[in-house]
Amino acid sequence: MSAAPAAAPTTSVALVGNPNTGKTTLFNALTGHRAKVANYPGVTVEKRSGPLRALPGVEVLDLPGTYSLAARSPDELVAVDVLLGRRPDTPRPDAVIVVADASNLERNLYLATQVLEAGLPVVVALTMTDVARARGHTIDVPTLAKGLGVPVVPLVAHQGEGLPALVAAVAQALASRTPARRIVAFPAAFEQEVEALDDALATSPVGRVPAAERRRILLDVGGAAELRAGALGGPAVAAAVGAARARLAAEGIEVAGLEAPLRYLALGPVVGAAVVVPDDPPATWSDRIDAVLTHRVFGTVVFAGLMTVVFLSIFAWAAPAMDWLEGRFSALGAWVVAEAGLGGGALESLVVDGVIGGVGGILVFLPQILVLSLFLTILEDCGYMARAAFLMDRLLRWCGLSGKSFIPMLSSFACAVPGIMATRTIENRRDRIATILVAPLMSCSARLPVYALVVSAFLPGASLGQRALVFAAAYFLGIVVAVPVAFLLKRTLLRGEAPPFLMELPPYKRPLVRSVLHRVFEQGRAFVTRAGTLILATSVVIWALTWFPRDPAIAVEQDRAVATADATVEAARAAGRTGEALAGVEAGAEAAKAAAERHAKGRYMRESLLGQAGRVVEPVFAPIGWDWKVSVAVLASFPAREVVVGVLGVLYDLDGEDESSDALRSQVQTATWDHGPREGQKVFDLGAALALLVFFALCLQCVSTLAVMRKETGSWGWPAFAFAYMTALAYGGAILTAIVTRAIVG
Amino acid sequence: MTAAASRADGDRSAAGAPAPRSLADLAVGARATVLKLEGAGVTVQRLAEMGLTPGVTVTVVRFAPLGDPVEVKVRGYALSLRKLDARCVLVSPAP
Repeated sequence: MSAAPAAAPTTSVALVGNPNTGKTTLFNALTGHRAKVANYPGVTVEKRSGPLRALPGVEVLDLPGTYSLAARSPDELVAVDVLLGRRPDTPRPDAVIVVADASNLERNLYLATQVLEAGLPVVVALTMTDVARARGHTIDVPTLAKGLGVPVVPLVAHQGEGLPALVAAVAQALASRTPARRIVAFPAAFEQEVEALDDALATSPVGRVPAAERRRILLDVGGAAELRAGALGGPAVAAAVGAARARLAAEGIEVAGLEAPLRYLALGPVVGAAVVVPDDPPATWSDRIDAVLTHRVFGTVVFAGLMTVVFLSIFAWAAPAMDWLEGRFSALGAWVVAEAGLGGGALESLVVDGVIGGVGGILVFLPQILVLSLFLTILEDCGYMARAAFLMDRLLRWCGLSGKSFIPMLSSFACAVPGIMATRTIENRRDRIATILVAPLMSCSARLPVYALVVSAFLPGASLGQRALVFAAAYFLGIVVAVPVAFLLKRTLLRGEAPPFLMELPPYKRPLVRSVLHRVFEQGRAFVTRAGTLILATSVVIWALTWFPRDPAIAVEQDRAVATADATVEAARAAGRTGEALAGVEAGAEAAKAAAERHAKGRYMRESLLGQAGRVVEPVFAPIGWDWKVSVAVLASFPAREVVVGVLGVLYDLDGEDESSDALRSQVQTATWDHGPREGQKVFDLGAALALLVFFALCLQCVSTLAVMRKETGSWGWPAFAFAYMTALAYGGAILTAIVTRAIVG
Repeated sequence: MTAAASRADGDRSAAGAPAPRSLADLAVGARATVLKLEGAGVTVQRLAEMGLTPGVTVTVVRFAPLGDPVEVKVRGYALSLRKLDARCVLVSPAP
């Protein structure tokens, strides 16, 4: 009844459990932190697997955390499909470990009762037994095992206690291959319909499916299993399902409310016999902390304070490391020029400007990503993340999202990459995609140099206060735009049935240092490898577009200027000048050489493919009032928006590429159109300058963000959509800004 | 609202109207028994899966600072739900 395994016939064990049960910690303990991470094709779910250290040849498969097997989306259906061997990309596991929180057994075992029906051997692992003990719960493990009909192994994850017993139980389950028995009895009429559905499906394109899946098709009204069967089997299957439900309703059985009460009813005596809970549970320290942290006044104050500290420390802690990395990369570039002997030609430029410059420019953000991941992982592991969502839900519902979107959005003010990674805690797929789509609108730290350049260089005659105001306006523009964007997305593209926003508030606990560091490392590695390869590719493409064609005339002209400068020095020497007089001539010659080099660089850029493209697209940006140089800068900054600062520097024939350089400032302020109807007029009036600010506040010129979006959503469709809508917003916003500014200023 | 009026209000609700009320109408600290769930299929299914089935006892722990969502204790754990969804949970005051 199951699909044939696609890969080599290895033995595997699936790990299933509710969120926040320590499932990942157990996975790491079993595999020794050797996870292989991939994606299930077609869904946004991560596939984590690793070798079971204590049992050679056995693979552990970590299924996504879930409260129930009743799937409402294709993402949630993954767990059901894997357990039933219905995914061609994943061989059916040979046994299942159900991870259950001992301090919250009843609700955790709800999922266990569903897994018991999958037809596989099952072992129940009890985590958080220390928390249960602290609350005064006593658990009679043998009685619980008898009630559930499967082995139960208590664990203390922090100390690794119980792990050998769990491995032994798994080994025995694998050896015996005895499937677990169901402990929940459904009404006989319902089971008859489950059987009858087999015939209806077998003669349809759906084919035969396991009884457990047929139960899901009947039970989950409008759920993922029913939708898939309907889509595959056509109206006949849909009609058969509808008719079965109607016959049951006629007998007084409403499928929508059938399952959960039956399962809890069956669990009641099992848990009741095995677990003794004190009548008057002692107030735990977790309860006392919560009384403060979710308090109307203190809770809000602590939350605001905590978020401020996290936010500021991203900049304070990461800045030195970022400066250091930046220094290392420019030193590496300089070393290649000086020592590697690449001959100063295309190859050297490819290595220095394309590879080192492009990849270095992105890797500089790694410290920020690591610091942010560290904070987020600690907040998540200690249980505060759920409280943050609890506090902020009302606010975010305003734009159609939930409290769980708050932390990802806040993180995106540092960098959208960790922000988008942080959306994994959002269970609702549509909420998650909406959050991923608006996260890049937040003003990330890569935008700050662009804002600084515009505010310092493009606003002549503005007071310090006015500059600060413009900077702040640019900074908060993104979040102001994000509200209506999210609102619209949730009402158009991401419209659909709104499942209730139900969220467990897990007890606070101390995060495990090793587990935190491991996850921070994993996020950093994912950024470097996944984003890195794409960034390398785009950097090289952009480099090639700025390098070719290489007009030899420019080099000839530069050589001539250099020769003239050298000749001047020679002439001075020949004339017998020494000391200060000679030094003055030499300095003058050096300056002339530097100017010739800058001039050549500017001409190369002007005549490069990208420069030509800039001229081609100039009309597109003409309504904003930008000349071809700004157009080139916009195109060249596709891999990373902060590149615009350096490109403008090169195009305006300048040495200093620093955003605060006085030379760039004066150059930009006096820049005039070099051709066309507005020749001689100033390029950067206030409208064009503010438009540049708006454009870069709203555009998605960042390959790392696109790469992470691709990885988290599982397709190029969403990043392409995000790029298109943000570019449209940026372009429209820039035109509007230019027009309105000119109308006001005149 | 004055303190006296609010107390009178509280007294009235403590008396327990015979008509079932929803979980969203309870005050902080109130205990109640779930009578039934009403609403869209997905909402009813999810609420029940999280343990809010008929007959179970719930305690309102607190409301979020902005007045919504509400935190309740059910089956020994803390669950946060929006008032909108809590209105689907009909309750009667616990004995």
